[in-house]
Amino acid sequence: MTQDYRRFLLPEAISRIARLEVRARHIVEGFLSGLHRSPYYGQSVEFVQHREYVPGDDIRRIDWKVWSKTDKYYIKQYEEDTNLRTTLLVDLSESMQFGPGAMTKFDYGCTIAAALAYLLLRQQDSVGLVAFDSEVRTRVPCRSKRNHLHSILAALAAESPDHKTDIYSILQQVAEAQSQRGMVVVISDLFVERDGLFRGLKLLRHRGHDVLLFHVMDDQELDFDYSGTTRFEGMEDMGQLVCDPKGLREGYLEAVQEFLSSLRRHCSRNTIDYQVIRTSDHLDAALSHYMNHRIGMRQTVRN
Amino acid sequence: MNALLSQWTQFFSTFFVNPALVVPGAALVASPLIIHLINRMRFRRVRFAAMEFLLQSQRRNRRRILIEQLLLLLLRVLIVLALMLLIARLVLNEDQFSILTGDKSYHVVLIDDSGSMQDQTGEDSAFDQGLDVVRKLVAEGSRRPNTQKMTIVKLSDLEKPLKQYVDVNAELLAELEAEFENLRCSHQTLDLSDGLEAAGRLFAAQPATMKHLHVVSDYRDRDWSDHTALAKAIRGLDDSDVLVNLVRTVGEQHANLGITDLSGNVHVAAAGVPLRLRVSVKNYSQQMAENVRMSIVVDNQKLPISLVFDKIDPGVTVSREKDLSFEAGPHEVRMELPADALAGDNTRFLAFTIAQTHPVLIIDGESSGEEGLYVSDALAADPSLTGFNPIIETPDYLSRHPLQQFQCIYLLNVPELRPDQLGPLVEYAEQGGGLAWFVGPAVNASFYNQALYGTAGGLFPVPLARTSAEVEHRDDTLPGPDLRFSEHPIFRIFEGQDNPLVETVRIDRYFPVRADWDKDDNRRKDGVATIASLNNKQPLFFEHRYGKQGGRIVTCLTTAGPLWNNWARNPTFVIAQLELEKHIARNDRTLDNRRVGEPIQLRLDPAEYLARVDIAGPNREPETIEATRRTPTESPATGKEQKNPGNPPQRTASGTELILNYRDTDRPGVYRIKLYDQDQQPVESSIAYNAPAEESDLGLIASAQIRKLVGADVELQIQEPGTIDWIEGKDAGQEVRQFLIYLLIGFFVMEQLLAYRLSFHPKTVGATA
Repeated sequence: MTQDYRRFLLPEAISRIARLEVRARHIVEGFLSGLHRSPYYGQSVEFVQHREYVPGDDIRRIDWKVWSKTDKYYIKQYEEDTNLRTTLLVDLSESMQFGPGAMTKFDYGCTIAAALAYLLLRQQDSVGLVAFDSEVRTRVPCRSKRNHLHSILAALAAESPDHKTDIYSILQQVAEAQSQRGMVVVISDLFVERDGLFRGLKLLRHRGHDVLLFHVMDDQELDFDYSGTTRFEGMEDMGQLVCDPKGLREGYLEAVQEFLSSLRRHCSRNTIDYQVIRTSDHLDAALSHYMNHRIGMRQTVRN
Repeated sequence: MNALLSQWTQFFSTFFVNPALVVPGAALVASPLIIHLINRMRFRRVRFAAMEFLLQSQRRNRRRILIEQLLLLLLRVLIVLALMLLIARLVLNEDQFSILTGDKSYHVVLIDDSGSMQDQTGEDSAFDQGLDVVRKLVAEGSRRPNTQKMTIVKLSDLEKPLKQYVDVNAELLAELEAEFENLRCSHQTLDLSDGLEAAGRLFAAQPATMKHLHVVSDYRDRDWSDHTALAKAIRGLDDSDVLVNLVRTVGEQHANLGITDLSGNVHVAAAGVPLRLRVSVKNYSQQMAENVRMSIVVDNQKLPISLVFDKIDPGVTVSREKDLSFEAGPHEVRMELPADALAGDNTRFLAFTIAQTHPVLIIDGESSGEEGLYVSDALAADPSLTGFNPIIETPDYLSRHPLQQFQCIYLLNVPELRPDQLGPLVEYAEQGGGLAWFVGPAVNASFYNQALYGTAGGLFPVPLARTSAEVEHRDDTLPGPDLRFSEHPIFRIFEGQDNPLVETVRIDRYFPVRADWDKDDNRRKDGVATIASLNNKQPLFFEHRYGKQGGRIVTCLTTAGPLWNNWARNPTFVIAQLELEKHIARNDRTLDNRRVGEPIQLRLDPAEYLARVDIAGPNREPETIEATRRTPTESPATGKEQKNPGNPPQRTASGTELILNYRDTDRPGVYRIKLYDQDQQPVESSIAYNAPAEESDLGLIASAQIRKLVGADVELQIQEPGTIDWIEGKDAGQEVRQFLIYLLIGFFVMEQLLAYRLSFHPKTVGATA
């Protein structure tokens, strides 16, 4: 079992992540170690700024001293020191099984999830996992203990892609289950019902979650460099087609680009960080993107 | 199945050079379709996740893809079809097929074997190349055995074709290979129009749907100088639906020098007397020839000397003279030029017999014979220097002795001749003997006018006035020349500006011609030429010919001796008499110098000779031939007949004669003829045969010029040298082939462009999806 789940935590990936950790220290301050500073404002001892009172604010946070001097209501804002709660959503649908190369999309997605979990746990942030297809197959709650990584890896190794995806219900469940705001990382090929996806993502954003979308695509799906008469047998009961792929390539690529554009557009509109990742890319590409996202989030969420 | 295939092949042979390839080629046209269908059936399976987009693309592009695929398939089918048409060689114009294909046709091949066909190009002569063309023609025809008929005929032997109306097959090819090994080109001048007419007769004798005449020749410019007959013959063939195909065997004019003449006064040559031989060389090239050395071979012994021609300009003939002495008897002289393109004209032969002396009869009307002495001294003061042996006799000698032994007879101041004297003289002149008349005071003018002049005899050229006349010399201190010479061989030596010796000749008296006689030679046209006259414009010397054999008669209207003039005492008299003797000396017994191809025809008296005749050609063993006996009532042999060589012809006692006609005289050289008399003793003579000078001119006529001369309306094919495409029909469908190649290239380009468009090409490194 150990052998099995360790396969997602590749030595090469770990060594790359270790280097990334150094960079992470500069942007993330943890609650436990003081290294990880929360991007959110909350109750803390460290004052940050005053802000004019607006109805709905907690009157306990009104600074009466300022009122006495200016006869205006201002509330005090403090730095919220908290650890990061990250939920990794890994797609287990049959389409994730695709991959003519060394790794399937599922393998690649699991590797991303494992690496992120490792990184976050090393920084003593709390990480949870939800593996899903048409329903939630595995749920690992958020913990920040080091040995929590084993639980996550074991959950990943236990699952194998087999079914269709019902993304909206999954995202809805996650949104409802996560009472505290945190980060939700979705790792999927997103071959799902489009409206359900958009609605689910929007829901997560409404609940205040920071959403990170890793769109895992195989090279063949992006480039479609098949040749010769081929019978394409669709996964997840999508039917089959005998054709000369050269003739359909142009139209296929147009359709894919259209799909990616619509995703990109929607994510941009909802402040969701979206990244297409090829299974041929190095793993650190995904993690680099995660780090960049963290920097960006400091700017965007607080405003 | 085979029968059906054969039927189809036969059908396609109307349109294709290689009809056998059409059916397999047509089957190959289906190959793109089959490959396409196989590819549709043989596919690989791929489990694919992004099926949604693939189906979406398929829905959008279904019609376009179908059209593009069909177009690509069509292009590939067209490429295979174009390839098939190229390989099977489509021919739209049926006339372009090889002349040896199609319906049964009759081919007559006329091979020019005239002397100019010996023109060497590399190691082969034009004749060899002509034979090669015939071989290829037959070889091509034998690929479809027994479908063609052919006659092959040489221009030199039109009556006996090499092959006549035979099937063209491998057997014929093998026979021709063997026959061509021994076939030699002649040295003769042959008329191509004769060959064309003979071909016309051959075609007329055999019915055929298609008639082809192949004229294999070198097509020299001189052959077409009088093109009327040739053009007419070709037009006649064209009118008879004969397709005339002129096959050229020579591509360019080669440099050539030829000996055009080798001659001398061999009829007056005597033992030990230098014989002046004149040889002429013409440069038939377009470049100047320099330092040409000609070797001389006498009796098969090469002399250590050679004649050198420093330079011979193009088209110019240069002559040289050489004096050679011989002993009495038969001799051969051969002059040789260095080798060039045409070997036949580089050598010229001369065969002759040198007499010990030449007897000359001088009949002096005066019994003293004083005038005769002047002539005799002039001819042979020393017989060893001139070779003449004159005797002076009275007119009675004419009736008492045979005259044929004499080379010529001088008649000096003869008053009259009795019929028994005149008869032998007339016979002598008729048989080619030469006469020289000199008048004098004893001459009876009325006898001459009645018995010798005009219809009465013609031995004397002009009517004489009744009496002689004196020449008036107006100024004795400045006499001026009394003699005015025309251009004539006898007086050639006196031509020129400075002739002081001739100017001192004085003619005091002469016999004028009768007043009513027209002195204008051109108006009179009686064959009498005035060759010298007095300064008072009265004619003095005449020349005319007498009899069938053409004995020359020269007449002088003054005395030979000094009675009426002082010429006999003038040094020029000797020269004039020697030249006169050479001119009138009989040459009917001199052996001919003939052109190759002329037959040797002999008429022999069976009382004198046996029927057996041995003839040895150049470098050949003697060939014994039996002469045929013929009575005079039978038609005489045509052509140039050789009388009893070396002896005067005599009437046959029995009324029959022996006739020999020897035709194998194509080789230049000396032919030795050996007759046998009744005692079986051989009588030998020789005849030199030379290549005709006309064949030396190797100038070519351009094909365009031939077309122009023949006429544009005549369907005429002209094949350039070295081309054999017309035999194999390689040119057939040339324009269709080019069109197909362009079409094929177009199809290929379109197919590649379409295939490129329909295929996937990965982007360069660094590009992202």
